[in-house]
Amino acid sequence: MSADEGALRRVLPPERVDDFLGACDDYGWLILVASTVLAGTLPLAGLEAGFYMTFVTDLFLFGILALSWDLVGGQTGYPSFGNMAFFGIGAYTTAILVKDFSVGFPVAFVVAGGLAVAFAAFIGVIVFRLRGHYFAIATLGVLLAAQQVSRNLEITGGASGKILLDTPSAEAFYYLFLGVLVAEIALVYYLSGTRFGFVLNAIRDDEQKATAMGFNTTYYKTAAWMLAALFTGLAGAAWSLDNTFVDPQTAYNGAWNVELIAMALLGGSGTVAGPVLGAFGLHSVIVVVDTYATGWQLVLLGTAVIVTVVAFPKGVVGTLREYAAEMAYYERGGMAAANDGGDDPDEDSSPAGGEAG
Amino acid sequence: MALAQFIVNGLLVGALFAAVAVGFALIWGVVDIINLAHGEMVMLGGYTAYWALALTTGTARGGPLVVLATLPLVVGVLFAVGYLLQRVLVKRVMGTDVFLTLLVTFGASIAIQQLALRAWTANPRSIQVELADPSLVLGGVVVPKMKLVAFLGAFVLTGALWAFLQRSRTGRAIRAVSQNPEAAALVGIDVEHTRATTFGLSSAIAGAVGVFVATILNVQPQMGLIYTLKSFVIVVFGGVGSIPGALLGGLLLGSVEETVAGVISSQWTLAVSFSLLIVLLIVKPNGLFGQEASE
Amino acid sequence: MTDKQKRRTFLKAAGSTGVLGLTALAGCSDDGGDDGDGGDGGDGGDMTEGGDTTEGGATTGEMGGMDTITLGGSMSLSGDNADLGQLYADAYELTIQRINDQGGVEGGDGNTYELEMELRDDETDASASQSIYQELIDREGVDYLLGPYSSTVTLPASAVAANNERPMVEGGGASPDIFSQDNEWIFGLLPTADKYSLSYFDMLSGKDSPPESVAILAEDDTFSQSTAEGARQRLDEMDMELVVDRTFPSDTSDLSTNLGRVRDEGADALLLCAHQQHNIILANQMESQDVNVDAAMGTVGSLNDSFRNEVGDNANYIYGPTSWDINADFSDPVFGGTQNFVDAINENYELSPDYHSAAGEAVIVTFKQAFENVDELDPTAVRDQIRGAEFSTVYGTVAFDDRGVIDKNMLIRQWQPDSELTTVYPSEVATADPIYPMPDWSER
Repeated sequence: MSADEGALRRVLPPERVDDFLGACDDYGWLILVASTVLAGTLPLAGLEAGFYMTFVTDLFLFGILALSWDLVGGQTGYPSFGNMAFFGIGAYTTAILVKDFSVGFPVAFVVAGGLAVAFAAFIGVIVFRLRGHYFAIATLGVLLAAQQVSRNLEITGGASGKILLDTPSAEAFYYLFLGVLVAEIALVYYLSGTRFGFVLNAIRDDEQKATAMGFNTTYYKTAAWMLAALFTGLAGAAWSLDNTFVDPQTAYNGAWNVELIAMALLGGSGTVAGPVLGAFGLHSVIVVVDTYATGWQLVLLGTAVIVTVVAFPKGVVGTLREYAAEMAYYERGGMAAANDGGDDPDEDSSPAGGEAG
Repeated sequence: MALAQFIVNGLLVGALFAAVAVGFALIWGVVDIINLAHGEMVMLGGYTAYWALALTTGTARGGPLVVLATLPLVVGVLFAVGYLLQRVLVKRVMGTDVFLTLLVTFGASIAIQQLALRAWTANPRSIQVELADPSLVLGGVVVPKMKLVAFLGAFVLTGALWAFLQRSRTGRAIRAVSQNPEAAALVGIDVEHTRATTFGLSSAIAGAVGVFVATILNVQPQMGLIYTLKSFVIVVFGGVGSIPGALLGGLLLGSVEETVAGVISSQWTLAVSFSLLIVLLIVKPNGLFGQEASE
Repeated sequence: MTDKQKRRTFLKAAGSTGVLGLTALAGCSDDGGDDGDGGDGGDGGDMTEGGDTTEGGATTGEMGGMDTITLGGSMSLSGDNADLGQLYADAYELTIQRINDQGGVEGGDGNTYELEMELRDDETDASASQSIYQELIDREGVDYLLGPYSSTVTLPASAVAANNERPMVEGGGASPDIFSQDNEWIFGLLPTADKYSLSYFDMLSGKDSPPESVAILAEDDTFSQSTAEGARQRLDEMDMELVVDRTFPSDTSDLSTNLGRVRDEGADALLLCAHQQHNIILANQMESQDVNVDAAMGTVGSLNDSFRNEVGDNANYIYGPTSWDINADFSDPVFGGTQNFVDAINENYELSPDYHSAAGEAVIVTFKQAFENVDELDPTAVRDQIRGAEFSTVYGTVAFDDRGVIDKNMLIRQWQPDSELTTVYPSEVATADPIYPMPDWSER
């Protein structure tokens, strides 16, 4: 065990990781712009509509959903099991407007986002009176109730849902999802350096203290929740047409909701990059498993969730930060620490490890 | 008259939901875990009885006594499953964030469900009980005999758990851990063992309910989720950790659902239950029968 | 065969490098990494290469001197409808194997083709099925699609066929919704759901003392709702009163309250529009709820062996519709005739086929005859050929109307205590009269 860790230290010394993370922090905007340009040129460089484009588009989709979840779940400390309700509302709004009322997609897309936000504002007033387990259950209840309502109404097509033919091209959706994702990352990244982001984290760490400091926590929580609903709703709005089909089972997919949480957690919840990276990683794994071990994907999902939670509760980004923070310990502890091996640094690193990226 | 029939139908199934929810409430109260794999214990219990019968007698059918004879086996098997679930898995996330514990038990739930699907296929299975005259008519209300047996069985199970917690040494240890784990450890109670025992007992009762479900309805690998969800609703009705609360909550939920099904349509039962859940959470977060406590 | 296998393995390997490369790349695209360029170059290469080989390889690949045509699809091999899904999978497999054993398909373009099947498990999940079809078309280059099972799954799959302009022939989705979308790429071999219950009411109205009141219990999925709608319309034209009309959600496991309604309203005939699971519940709870009607029919899954195994004698007197009579004798280009097909299924899978199996066979034969009769093998030509064709299969004569649906009526079969499953309607093919009214529970 310790020999392995020694080898790891030689290949990837904590200070290098620290430098790398530092560079990411310093050049955050540059990295975002560069990667957006890179992703934007992929279709020009030969990524054609088809399996791979669908795959990358799905990565963007899950990136949006996981980051939205984390805004409330990770940054603010309210784990929602009902985010997919916003997704379903967005999806059904576009499907109904486009199919039954012949509204153009751009208009339907905007209306869908607006409805999701309005619904979030309404529900937020109710569920933010609860915390912990109760909040989780209440949001799950919202999701299931919304699903049942869609299942039973005529306008939503009942249990069979709606199929949508003659939809825009796959390239259009590629850029749409990319655009929404970049906008969301930029916004969350910007907010994380502002007072707004600070208050959200303060609520997560100790809500009573945040209230005592004079912040109107209900306002901040609801605002974050509406922001999450906006992006989730927009993602749903685009998804329904891209998917050519909406039904209650998929649009209000409880299993996806759990996947989102697992993604945020895997990447590192409470950070900006973590949920997005987690979404990319976990969705890729799911696709690979789907192809090579059809029928076992859910067993593996269950196992993956368990292993992640037990082994890396801080996620990839969080674990890296923790590891990088060991450097500070080395600087102070000198030889004694080097001889000692690597158990204690964990504790020492926690102040630095908890910060958002 | 019809209304009476709906309510009787509701009470008959409600007792089963209640017995499942009692274990859910106990785990929540004592171990402070929401066990999302609780419904899977009902499923495993049903299958254990089904296979015990199918493998020993050749067919999954028999008289009422033969079916009831599988109960001790099911209780034993599911106690072990629950005990190990806590000891091996849930223990590792104790005291961390709420959603980590939810995720771990959810992961366990999908894994169990999917493995069951692989092993036993999605075919619904039922245990056929051979009764000459399967139903009673009491004042115009039809009561299937097996449902009555299941109803009474649910009460007996719940009562036995209640008595066990009140009277036995282990029961007292469980209550002590529930109130203050540190203090319990100081007086020499093995907290880990006690928590795992709580999981085991709760799972055993859920499994026993599964036997009744397999006889009056049917069992299927994906049936668990609905029992977990209903347990949520019931515990919110009745208050966390309260056994009488869960029992009443279950009977109430069953009657409400069947009345909605009878008077409006069974399409709306779930929507009504979950809306009721949200409203109750807001209005009476400690449950209809819970004490007024903080947080 | 080995050649083919190797190529496929290679394709998969290439695919997976692509996936991993993309992941790395996509990972960078949002948090910045330093190895973006390498990933990009390698990736683009893989993709074009994968695309090319698929075009030439999977669809019409060289194989020991014979070309192959791949028929691809998804099927409910696990999940709620796994039992019925397996019947299709078996029929597809057996028919393709027979065709290949007989020397393959003599294509209209002068080449001989071996058929190959790529059938994936959709776990009875509509969205899984949809992405499987998209993937089969995009990555495996499949041009000819075999339909999945159940209307809920077929509906979104048919949208994939239309959007990609690939013909899909299906024997498992009967909702009229599938055929009312102006979709020119879908062909269905089952009578539409609204026709499922009509023969039942026709049969009952011809009895000496026909039922006066009817109860309908319907699951809330696409197919069952269409079945119920068809029944309601027919009842409007007839002399029977609809006294109970209830819809229940698919995950309901207790029908007591709904059956209690049927009992209290004193309905004479019962129609359950639902799949196998609810037929099992119905058969058991009719007894325990003491529901006595003169006739009861379940629309899907009430006629197969697994239904009988689960409910035992409670299956007696229950009716079910079928689009195919196991005793019929139609000529068939692959098996020769219906009875040979029945024997072959019995022999290979140790179960007796029902209409799902026969419709599965006809799906493959529809493609076979189309390949033989087009000048050039491409999706549009095949679709156009299917639209105008008329031919005989073990399932009966196949010809499609303007919507793409076969014109067929349902037969009615009944579980009879002495002779098991018996065809009872229409009288031209019936082997016995229906036992009507069925005895009360107290008299059994």
